[in-house]
Amino acid sequence: MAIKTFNKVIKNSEDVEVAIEISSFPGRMGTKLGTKLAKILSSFISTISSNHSDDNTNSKLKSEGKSVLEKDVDFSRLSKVLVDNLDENKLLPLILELLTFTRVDGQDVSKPEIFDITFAAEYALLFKVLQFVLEVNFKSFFQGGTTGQIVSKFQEMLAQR
Amino acid sequence: MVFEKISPEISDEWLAWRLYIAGKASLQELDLVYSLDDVIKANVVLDIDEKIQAILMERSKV
Repeated sequence: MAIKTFNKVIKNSEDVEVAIEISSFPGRMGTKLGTKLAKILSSFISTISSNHSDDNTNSKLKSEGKSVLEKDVDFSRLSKVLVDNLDENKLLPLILELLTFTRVDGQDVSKPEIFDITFAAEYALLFKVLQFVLEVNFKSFFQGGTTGQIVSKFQEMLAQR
Repeated sequence: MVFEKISPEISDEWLAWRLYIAGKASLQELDLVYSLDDVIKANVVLDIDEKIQAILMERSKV
């Protein structure tokens, strides 16, 4: 419960240990970022769905009246999509926003100049850091159908009374 | 859709504003205390509460 700090040690490309510290996003900022992430990444849904073999294209979801939020998301794939599309104008500002509460060896990597230095030739490290940020913050947000399942359980309980 | 008429700044934060409107959290709590996970869980609980209220309302009519 509440905003927490999480720590992890990750090895960079030179096999040197790097200390990662992240704080969970505050509620309002987190919902805004999660929604932004879902909107931008809806075009990549077939890549980031945890059930990769499914035909989970965005058009299929739309035809079913569903959104990216109703699919279970694989954070490793989601992180890869972000890193692979880093050069797109839309994604770099989003990545910097996602790193707002992230420190790599004590440095605030959401600042563009520190981001550039920290992740120069370290795309694998960026990928791992982003995956950690996404897992800590957005597990509930991108868990398909959780709300519906809990609600239906409560309905069953009420019906048994 | 109602959301199409609301500015993205508000609709993107809807899950948080819903708790504020329902009187379950202050803006200060949403910005400084509650995590995104808390907001999601609180929305799940609110959904359940609304369903229960609807069921109780239906039963009271019988």
